[in-house]
Amino acid sequence: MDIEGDIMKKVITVIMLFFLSLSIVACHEEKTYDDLYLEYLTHIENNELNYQSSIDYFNHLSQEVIKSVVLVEKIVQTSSESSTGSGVLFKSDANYYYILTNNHVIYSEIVSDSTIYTISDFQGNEYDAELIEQSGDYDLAILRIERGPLDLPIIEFAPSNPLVYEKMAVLGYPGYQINAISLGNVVDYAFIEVESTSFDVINVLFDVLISDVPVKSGSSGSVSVNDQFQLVGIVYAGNFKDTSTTSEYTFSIPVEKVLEFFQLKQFSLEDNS
Amino acid sequence: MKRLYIILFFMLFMLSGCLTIIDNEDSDEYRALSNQYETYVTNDITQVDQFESFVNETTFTSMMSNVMIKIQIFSDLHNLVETRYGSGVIFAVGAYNYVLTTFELTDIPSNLLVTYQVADYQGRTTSAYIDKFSEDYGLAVLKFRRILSNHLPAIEFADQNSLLGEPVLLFGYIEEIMNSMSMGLVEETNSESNILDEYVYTTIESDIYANGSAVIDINNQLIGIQAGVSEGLSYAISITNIMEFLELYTDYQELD
Repeated sequence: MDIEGDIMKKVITVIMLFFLSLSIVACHEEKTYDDLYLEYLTHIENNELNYQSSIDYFNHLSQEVIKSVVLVEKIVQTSSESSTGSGVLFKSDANYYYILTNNHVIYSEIVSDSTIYTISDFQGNEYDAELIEQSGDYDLAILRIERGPLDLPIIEFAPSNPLVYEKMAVLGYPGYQINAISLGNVVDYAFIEVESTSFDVINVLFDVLISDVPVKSGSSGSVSVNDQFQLVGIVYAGNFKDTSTTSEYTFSIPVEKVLEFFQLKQFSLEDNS
Repeated sequence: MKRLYIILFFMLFMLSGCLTIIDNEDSDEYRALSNQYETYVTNDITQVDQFESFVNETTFTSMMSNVMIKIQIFSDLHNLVETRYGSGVIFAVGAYNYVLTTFELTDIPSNLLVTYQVADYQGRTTSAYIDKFSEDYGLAVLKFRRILSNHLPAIEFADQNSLLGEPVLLFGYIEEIMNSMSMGLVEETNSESNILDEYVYTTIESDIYANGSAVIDINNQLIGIQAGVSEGLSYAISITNIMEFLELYTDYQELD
């Protein structure tokens, strides 16, 4: 019995050792170029829907919403004073397009015939503009241009201010850059102190929309939109650290205050023509 | 029995550690693909933050290399015969800014007079001149004098072609929108004319004005020069061909 038992033990040991060496060999795997290529492709394939959703959102901004955004230029001929900013087309009627921008973009101490406002659309076509309304308390202004042969789309207003963490995009002409788009999120609402030469220019005393969308200096009047492509604010300031030309945070007049400005100025969004 | 338990324990131990014993292929191709994959995953735009960073980087950095091109062709009697519009991208900066575009845009019979005008990302226009071209590669280089106070950066080149399904972005003059951007995915094609490495096919919506535009990957590096649209797909001259074409310069980096 002992001899048979010993033989059995040896057989089992040999079998075990055989399986052990097999398992070690099986454990040792080489990852080839083809394996890695397949892993790479699978990673891309698994994210395809996600990519497509981001692409659709971005392409709508860059191909449709951007057409509502304009460059605003002010030149005072008598003093050679000039300024530029952005604006957005928000209303049209039979004769005119109406543009929303910042008061500080178009502000002149003395408004006279020598102050010329020019609007450039997404194709670079230029239009003479007329100042309709302005307010330093909201840092907002309305200009209008005569309708030309080109049909320009107008932006929709969001019914209320966006919530904190909501997605946001800023579209404008920072420092003359044509059709700039930057993305980020709503961060907070708070009162921001902005340096101004006069209360007539900027005297915003309410909580403004703070976002982490970076903008370049010269982005005043750019439009802030939500993920439904509706206007949620008009950029009026940003915080620029040291010598950086790109802001860390962007401050916008929130849409509810924009609508309040229209009411105060008794400016109707309806087509009265 | 004790010995059996030890062997069993050892077997289980080895099996549990199985995933850790993977040898990577020892080849340059593997290492290049591995680096490309690693960079891709690091910058992957599946995360909202990464997508936002990519777009912001494109807007504030890469787009500054964009130029819009206007070519006017005159008869020998100085009558305007044709005006062409297209796009290009600055790829080297020295005494001049050097712009890559398509050969097709600059292919003009030699008996006609031509003026080239470029507009930068801010719409500032200046005269440009043809510097190099190759019908075989479908590419041409224009140059225009650099103004020190107006620094325009050169686009970076990608080391590798993008893989099927990767997101890409085109910036140029699309649908008459200046400085426009459009995104899509690298697409495969069944077309027999598709020669490997010659063109990158994408789902980017584009038109004739965008020919010569830069197509970049999610690392903001150039992977192609838009050449046209065929059967609903955009196609761009691949980075492999661009780099070969640039060998026409003994060392294009010396242009910097």
